[in-house]
Amino acid sequence: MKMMKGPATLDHDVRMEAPDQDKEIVDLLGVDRERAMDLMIERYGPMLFRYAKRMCGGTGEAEDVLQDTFLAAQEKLGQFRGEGKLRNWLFSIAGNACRQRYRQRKTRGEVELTLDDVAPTPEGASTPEPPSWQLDPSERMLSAELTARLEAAIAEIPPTNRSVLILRDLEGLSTRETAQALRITEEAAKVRLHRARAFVRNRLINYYQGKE
Amino acid sequence: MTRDRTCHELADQLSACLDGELEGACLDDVLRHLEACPICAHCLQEIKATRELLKKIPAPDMPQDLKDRLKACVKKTPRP
Repeated sequence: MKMMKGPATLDHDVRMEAPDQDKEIVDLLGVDRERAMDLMIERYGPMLFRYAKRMCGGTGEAEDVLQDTFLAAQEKLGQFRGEGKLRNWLFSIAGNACRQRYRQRKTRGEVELTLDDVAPTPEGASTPEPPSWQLDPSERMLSAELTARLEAAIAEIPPTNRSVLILRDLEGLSTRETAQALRITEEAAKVRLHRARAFVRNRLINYYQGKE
Repeated sequence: MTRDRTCHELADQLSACLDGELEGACLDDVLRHLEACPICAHCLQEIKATRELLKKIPAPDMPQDLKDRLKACVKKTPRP
């Protein structure tokens, strides 16, 4: 089996992978269902794991979500008609699994960020200079500390906005694909994404200004 | 004539503008406002810088044996 090895950070042209790989899996369904599921787990397991871990906060919960996702996929695979990509369909199932966990924990998973939640900080709004934390284009990797800060900020975003940020900015889905996976409108996806980015931006400003 | 729109009205459009997802009159409104409003222009720079940082976050690894456990679990679960 060909193992896909990517860089440590994601190349956001992941959209190029889908049609032939999906067709291979769908074609296998009628011939060797077990092999089709194995292939699906190999190909989409890592990205679903990343999504679930960031949505649920822990490796153990992410594993549970993945199990639920692939069991549901096996059960519903006959319903996948090929409209859109298999990846987006799987993200949709995983998203449902995450939401069920929020309900079980009585977590307010449906809370969304408002514009007031993410308004520019007074300090950030007052300076005409580029942000001091703007990445030098030549920098290829983030420091461990900055990575930890970013992951912590992402974990604080309400799930309704966080899911969009993960799919768009971390997993490289388009707005249309994200909207399809999350069963929201494209306009809602754009708004939620902006507010999630602005939330992270505010956390970064606080961090760089030594407030945290 | 298009009326001037406020920072608050246009705030949610900034990321879409950055991502090249605005068109027509909506894009014109945002670009016109950015030329006139240094606060929103700076905000756009910050959002852009944030987006670039997010793209560079390393992807968390999937536990090595998880794929095998998932495959085993799927195999032994009876299909409907």
